[in-house]
Amino acid sequence: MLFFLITWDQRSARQLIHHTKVRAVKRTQAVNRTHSHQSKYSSLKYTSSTYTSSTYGNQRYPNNVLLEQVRLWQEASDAPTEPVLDPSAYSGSLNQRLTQRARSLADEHQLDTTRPARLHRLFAVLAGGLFALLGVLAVFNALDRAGAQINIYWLLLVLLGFNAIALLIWLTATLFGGTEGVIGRLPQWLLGLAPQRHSPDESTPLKQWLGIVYRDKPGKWRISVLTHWLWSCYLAAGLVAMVAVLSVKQYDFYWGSTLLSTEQFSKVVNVLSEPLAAVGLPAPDQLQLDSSRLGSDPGSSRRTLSSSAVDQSTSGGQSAGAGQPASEQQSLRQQWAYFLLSFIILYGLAPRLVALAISWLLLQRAERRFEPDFYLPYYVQLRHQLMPDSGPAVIVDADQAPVATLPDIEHSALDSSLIPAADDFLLLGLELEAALIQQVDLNIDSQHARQQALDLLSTGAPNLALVAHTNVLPDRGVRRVLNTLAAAVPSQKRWLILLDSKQNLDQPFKALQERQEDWFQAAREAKIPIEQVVYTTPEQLRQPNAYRRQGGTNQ
Amino acid sequence: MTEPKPIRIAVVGHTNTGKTSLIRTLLRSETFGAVANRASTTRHVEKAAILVAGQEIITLFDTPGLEDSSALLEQLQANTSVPADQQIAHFLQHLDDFPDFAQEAKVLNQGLQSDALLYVVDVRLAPLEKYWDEIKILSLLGKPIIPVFNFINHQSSQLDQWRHMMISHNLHSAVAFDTVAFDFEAEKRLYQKLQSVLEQQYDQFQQLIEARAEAWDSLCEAAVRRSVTMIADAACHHTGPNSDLTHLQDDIRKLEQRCLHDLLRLFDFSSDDVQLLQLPVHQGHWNLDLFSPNTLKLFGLNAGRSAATGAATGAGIDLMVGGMSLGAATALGALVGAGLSLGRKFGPQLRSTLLGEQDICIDEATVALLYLRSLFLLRQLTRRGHATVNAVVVDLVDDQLATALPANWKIILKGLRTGQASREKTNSQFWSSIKLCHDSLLDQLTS
Repeated sequence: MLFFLITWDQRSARQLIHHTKVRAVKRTQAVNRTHSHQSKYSSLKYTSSTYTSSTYGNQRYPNNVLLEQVRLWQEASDAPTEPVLDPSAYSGSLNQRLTQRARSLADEHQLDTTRPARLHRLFAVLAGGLFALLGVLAVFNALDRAGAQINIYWLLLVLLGFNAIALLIWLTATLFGGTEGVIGRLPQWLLGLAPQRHSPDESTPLKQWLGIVYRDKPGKWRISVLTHWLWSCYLAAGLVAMVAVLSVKQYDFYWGSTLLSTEQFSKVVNVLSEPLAAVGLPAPDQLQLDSSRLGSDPGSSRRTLSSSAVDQSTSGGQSAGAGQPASEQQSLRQQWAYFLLSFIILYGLAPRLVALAISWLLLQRAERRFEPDFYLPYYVQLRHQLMPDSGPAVIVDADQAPVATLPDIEHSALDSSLIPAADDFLLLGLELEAALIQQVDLNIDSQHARQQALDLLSTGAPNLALVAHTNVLPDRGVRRVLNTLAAAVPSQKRWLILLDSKQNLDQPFKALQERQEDWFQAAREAKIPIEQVVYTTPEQLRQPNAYRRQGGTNQ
Repeated sequence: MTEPKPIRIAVVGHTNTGKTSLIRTLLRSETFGAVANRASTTRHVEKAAILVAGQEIITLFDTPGLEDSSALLEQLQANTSVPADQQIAHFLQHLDDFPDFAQEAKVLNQGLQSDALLYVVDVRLAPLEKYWDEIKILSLLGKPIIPVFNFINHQSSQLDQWRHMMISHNLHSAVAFDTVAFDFEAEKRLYQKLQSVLEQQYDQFQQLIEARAEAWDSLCEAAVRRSVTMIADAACHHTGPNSDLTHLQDDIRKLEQRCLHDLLRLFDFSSDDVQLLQLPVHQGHWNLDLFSPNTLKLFGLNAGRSAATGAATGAGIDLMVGGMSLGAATALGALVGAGLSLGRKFGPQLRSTLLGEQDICIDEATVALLYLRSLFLLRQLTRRGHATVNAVVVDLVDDQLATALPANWKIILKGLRTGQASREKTNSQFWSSIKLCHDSLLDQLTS
């Protein structure tokens, strides 16, 4: 478990502060990269002016992680509500602004956003130490069990076998698994992060941080770096332990096989030895092999003293190579010891270190490319706030006149006996729409028509009925016309007939009421008696008996 | 290089034609100025800046409405001693002689200081003589005038008559822009018209148009992604074997509500707007229950296809296939123990399948319903202007809801069902599974 709780994170809080080199990196969505062909996402690009992030060298990744940390913290239920942001307090590209905001928010709430990274590093070091210890123990254990005589290939298998299998799995997973491979899956499973997506409040800052840095490509390479680092520790410590033990203790090495013949075995050994020889490390020669074969033929032409020693040792003899010159035995032991160490270096440690280096480089690359999902509503909203599309409203030419407050209008009942007969009305429309023009004697929608009406009125009309639709707004212009026309007859002969129809009911009731109020105020201004402001429908315009008071419309 | 000066645009027009609404919509702000269906709602000249990357590109000036231009024109023309091109200046210098025209004076004064005028027209009203008088007065300012036809989507729109009138008065670069039923393309055309009359500020307009298009696209994209994520979450949501059906329904409803909430915030609409949207939504909650058969019918889905909820062990198998199709990695995963995670995830489902127990998830029709509802909601949100205070023009009628499912719905559905397998770890795999759904939603939204 520890294995995965650790990291190889090279960054620390101190780095966050220093920025020297500014480098612009064109934003490309992570998704775009994966499906850039024919993808909808690729058609969508943030322009450089808004999303180009001027990044500060190594700052980019930690900054992006910080953004995500703060986001997850805010989305957790206990985060306090943030006050409305003042865009003027921020500067630079959106990414910079987001970072500034995240940092000030973290400072304000004393969030220790760098603690997870520190813990992570500590774990990495501790786990490296643990694995080193394991490597030492493994060597001691293997050598200890074997006694004074060691089957060299068995020892190699014990020491490197698991490493080889693990490396092979990593390689396969990395090559064929894509981002979704085992490697990427492991930390998630181990951290139990899967259900967190919808319950972020359950997770701790450390878990959130791990969720961020082990996500997507950086996560994949981070876990790779981690595994290689741990195995490297294991192997390096093992190697050192091996050197130490071999320096102070004497072992005799032999080999043997049940399944393979000597020739076959030699072939295998030669194949494995060739790379050793190629890089100048000692490889066992044929003589060495033959000498150390377990139970090799005593009559063989190449018989060496050491083989007899092995023979003896198998039968329980204590001193290997007793019948040989000591120098030859010593040289043989040394040769095998060197071979052993070389083999561990070349087949154990070196591949791990190479893989470590490659993974580390790929991690750097992935980190450079990493970006939070700026399409999340969280970021889109922040963008609105940090880089607003509009500035605040400012009054530049204030209205000095006091707003007139008009007295409420009191309504009295409509006495139908007072309504003149239809023939006694001159019906003048006030900007009526085309469909209603037929209903009135004259529609006033131009200066010419107004003059015509005044001429008509000067001949002494019995009663003036000004007809207006409540759709029409009694603005100052309309009111002026109303006043002018009304003034042409005595006030008791002035009528205002308001038309309403279902058509204007797409207005909310309140707006309709306001409009009616406005017309009543206009009537007051034109000194039309309040009881002579009536409602009707266009169809009943010529039927005064159907006129009604205000309440009638508000069914 | 010094920053170019902001372009000054005065928004003028008869009273109550939607000048403030136009500015609100252009600013995407619900709080600018005051809006009411009455005369003289705006009494001050108020300005606001349109910014791109923190830099002011346009300053919009909201002006009081013109109410009595005919009388003003009459008075101006009555004084024949002043030449036509100095009439406005004369009027502004002798305001005391014109006590009734304080509002008009503010408009004209602002107009003189602006680079161009947007003349807002309420096309629900007939093009009467008084509007022509207004244009005559505004022409005296000697600034480019662009008529903006507002409320074009209204049933009593008289757009053709208005167009005709403008052309007959030599105003050829009018633009239709409904402040209630928002259309981003119309906004773009509005800026393009301004760009064409203010040729010297071409680059500034170009910058603005591009920034606005990009912001709008990313907003739509973010909204679609949010919706698709919700649909995929719902499609993959499982409750344990033999668990309560209502439990599942609650979970799915919650997913949808959370998405609705996020979308409203994304488009900057308050919960007040929701009621005005004429959506079956109340205080941020859908009133139309997802699991009522009527909802299916309303959205044109065949309720008979299946009940709104279903026992779908099949989806569990789908999920497994989705998991396995991740390839060799998964097989290897089993080797090193990661398989345990799959086992932990799929084990109970597999077991329940073998034991004949049923693990419940939402059925096909409900996923389809979620899709159509999301589409409907997104359409409403992307077509609503921020100036809308009254009822929305788009009505909730059956045939508008009954959008056909995309032709490749079956494939989309499969992607949705399998997306979750890789969901918790990486975005890219998840998105590739639900990409089809995303694409078709975006297509249907923008078409």
